[in-house]
Amino acid sequence: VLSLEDRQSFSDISIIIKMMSPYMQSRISDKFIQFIEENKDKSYQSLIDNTLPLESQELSPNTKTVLALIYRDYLCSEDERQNFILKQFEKQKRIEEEKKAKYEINFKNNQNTNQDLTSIIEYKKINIFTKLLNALKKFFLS
Amino acid sequence: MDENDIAEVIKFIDELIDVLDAFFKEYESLSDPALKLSFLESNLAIFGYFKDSLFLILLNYQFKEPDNPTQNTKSDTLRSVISKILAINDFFEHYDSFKYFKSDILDCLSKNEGDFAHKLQFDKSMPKIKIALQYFQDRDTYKRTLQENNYFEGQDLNSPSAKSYISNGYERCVLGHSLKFLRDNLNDMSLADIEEIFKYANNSPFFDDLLSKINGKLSDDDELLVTQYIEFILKLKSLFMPSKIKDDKFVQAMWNGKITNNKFLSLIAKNTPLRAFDSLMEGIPNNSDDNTLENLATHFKEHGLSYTNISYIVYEILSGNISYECIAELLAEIDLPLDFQEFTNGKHFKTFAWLITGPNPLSLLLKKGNNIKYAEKPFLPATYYVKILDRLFLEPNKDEHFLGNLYTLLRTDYFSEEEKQAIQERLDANNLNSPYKVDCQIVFEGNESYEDLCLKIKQAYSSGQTIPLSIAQNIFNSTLSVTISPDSLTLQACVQSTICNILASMGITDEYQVFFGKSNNENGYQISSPPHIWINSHLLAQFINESSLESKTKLFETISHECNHAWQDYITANGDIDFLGYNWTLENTIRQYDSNFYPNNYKKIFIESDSRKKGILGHLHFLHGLNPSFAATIRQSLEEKYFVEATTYSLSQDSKKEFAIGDTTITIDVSDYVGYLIKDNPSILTETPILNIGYHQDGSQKSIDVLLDEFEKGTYTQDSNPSNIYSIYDGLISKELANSPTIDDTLQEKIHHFKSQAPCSASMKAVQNIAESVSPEYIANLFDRMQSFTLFPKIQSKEVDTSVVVRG
Repeated sequence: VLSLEDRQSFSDISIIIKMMSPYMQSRISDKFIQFIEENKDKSYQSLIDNTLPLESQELSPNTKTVLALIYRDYLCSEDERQNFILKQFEKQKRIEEEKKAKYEINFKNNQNTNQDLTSIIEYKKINIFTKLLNALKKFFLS
Repeated sequence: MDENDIAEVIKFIDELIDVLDAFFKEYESLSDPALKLSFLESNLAIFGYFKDSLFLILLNYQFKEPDNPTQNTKSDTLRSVISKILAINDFFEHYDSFKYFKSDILDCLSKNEGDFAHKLQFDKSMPKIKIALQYFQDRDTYKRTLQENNYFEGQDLNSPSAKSYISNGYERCVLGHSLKFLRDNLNDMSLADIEEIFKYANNSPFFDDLLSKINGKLSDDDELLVTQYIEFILKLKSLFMPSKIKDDKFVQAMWNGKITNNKFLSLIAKNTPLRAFDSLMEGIPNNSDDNTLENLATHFKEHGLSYTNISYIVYEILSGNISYECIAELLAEIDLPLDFQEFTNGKHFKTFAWLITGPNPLSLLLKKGNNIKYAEKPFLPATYYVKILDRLFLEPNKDEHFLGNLYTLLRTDYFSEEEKQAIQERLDANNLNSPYKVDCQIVFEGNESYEDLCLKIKQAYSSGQTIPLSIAQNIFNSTLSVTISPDSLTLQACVQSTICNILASMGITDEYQVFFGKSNNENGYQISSPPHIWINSHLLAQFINESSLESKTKLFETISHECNHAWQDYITANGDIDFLGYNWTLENTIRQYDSNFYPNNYKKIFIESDSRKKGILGHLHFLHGLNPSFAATIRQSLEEKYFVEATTYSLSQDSKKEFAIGDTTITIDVSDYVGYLIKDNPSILTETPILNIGYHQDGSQKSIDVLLDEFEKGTYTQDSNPSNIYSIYDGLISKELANSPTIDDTLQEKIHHFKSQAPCSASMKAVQNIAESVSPEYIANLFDRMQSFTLFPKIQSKEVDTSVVVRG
């Protein structure tokens, strides 16, 4: 269910779309714009100033989210979308890990490693032919 | 012969050409002359085969074929083989069976060429014409070989085959057909095809030969060829390589007195731009600027031309787009005769008797001179004004604009102090000063009667004071709402005040002068150097006399239109222009080289269509300022007019303009055309740096890839507004895209990146930064809410729109 906050964000977004270049506007589907227009809170007095750059405006978290949705699904190119989704995935993973670190006790961290620090490491002498072969391989395969 | 036999023969011919080619490679690799000779002797049989099948070989391979690389490679090999055979003809002459080998080759070449050229008249297509023209190079190769080996000396030159070969019959026929093809198909031909014909005709030595015979009796064919050269090649040259026109062989021949045929003199002078005459005049020794006619006549007389010859040339010069300033200067040189009688009785008759011979240039000069007094062009030389002020026909009332403009001109620094003094003396002596001129500052109290107000306005205006805009608006308002009509001079003062105030509101600081006059051609014009706006006085009469509001106030549309031209020049000169302004720059560049470009394309020119639109808006805006009810009355009609203008003429529709050549026209995209001009004169890029965005130094236009890379690197930034620079790149890229059938993914990605950088308050980068700061969880939640609310269809990204339209 759409909240009042959502509808107020749609009012902000309606203004922001008009601040975009014609090219950006042309990439957003007409149905989406229609949805925004039909569901925006018409009684809400937006604080967006269409004469100022977007960077310098205070946006509500919800408006930012709608904008992110527009960016992901309409504005970016295919490459940018892959990149964006990947970043989002990593961000989500990081959040999960942070949550885990915060709320779960990781017993593994408390266990000692099994590595035998006193074991002997074998020294393999490399003969001159092996060296030469490796050099040639490097040369041809590089 | 059945098909199999023909195939066998062709196979044999093919192999024979290859064998001969291989033979010459081997032969040339030998350095010992004795060895070479013996190699030749031992392979004489191959040449025998070649000689016997020569006709068939040439029939198949003398000419190339469009889009047939196999045939064309073979044809190139054959040309190489023939020229090598011709080069060693001395060897063959020792053998009885090869005694006439060279003549046989020339005969065969000649006959086959003749047939090919003859057939062109029945199959005149561009591919065939291209082949025929390209064959000029092969002929040149053969001729050069023959000349280098002295085979065209003495007896050889008298042989029928040699005579036929050097008669240039082939060139005559092919050039004739090509130029006729050009004339008949100019409108539908591609620029590349026109260039191809132009290149061959311009470079062909054939016309040198014709030129040497031009004063004698020419055959009908030759006369037609000369005419076609002058009408087409000369004109194309003046379009594509204007700086070279003065060096053209026909122009040079005319200038140096080598042509005495009046018909051709006329034709050459008619097709030589005034710019070229200017350059030629600069080369005259002891040339003094103030005696143009005398300089011209002396130059031609020294080069042996008769009075009649000179009159034909000068008549054509005067018939062209010669400025009124120049006409006035020429008339002043001969003391402004009123008619023939006065001229023949005058002191200049002896020097300029040629002015009344031949086509009678004097009559043309006097006719054009008569129009000067309609005051269409005010900037005339001081010598002209000094002399004209003594003429009887000048009367203050009748010639009010002529004198009014002179009064205005005297307040500028156009004349030197001495010139001003000389003119003032003639004004005083002839009692031609303005009756309203006063020496004090006119002050408007605000309570004057209408008559007193008009008197004060006239006094202020005639004394060089600009009246306040509110006073001008007062006069306009009272004329439009009450039936009180001001006199013409009062209205002129109001118009001058309006123009100055509009220009000041646009930030234009140049001191624009306002002139008035009569013309059947234009409502007004604007020129930035010296800065002035001219308004047709019929608009003043219309304002006073017409009954409909729209007709009455047409004057305001013209004022806004001309002020917009001043604004266009102002921002173009500052280099801070968007893509529309970039196109004005292209048009202005062409205008400097082709005086017919503007009148031929008046409606379609972006500079004009923009001013027409701004004129309509300015008209409405000014009327609204006078009284909102005036604007409301004609709003709908003007809006409809604006709509028609905006939809008919836009950047996406009218980039192609017409250029007249001979009695026909070609259409060329202005960008392509400016490319040719830059190729001819690269200094255009230094004079107009903004054009560096779209053009390379050689005049070629930058590709989409180059444009995108340069935008990314910020190659062209200057001090311009970034959104204007973006607009130019965007316009150029969009135009290129519209002409590109396919674009690959990499380019598509680059274009997306470029488009996403369009300056706007919500830029792609800003949206991206915000998007990346949002938690994915929030996006997922919002998405779910929206879908559950409306069963919003699964959001799918829009396809990237590649059908980019050039935006106006």
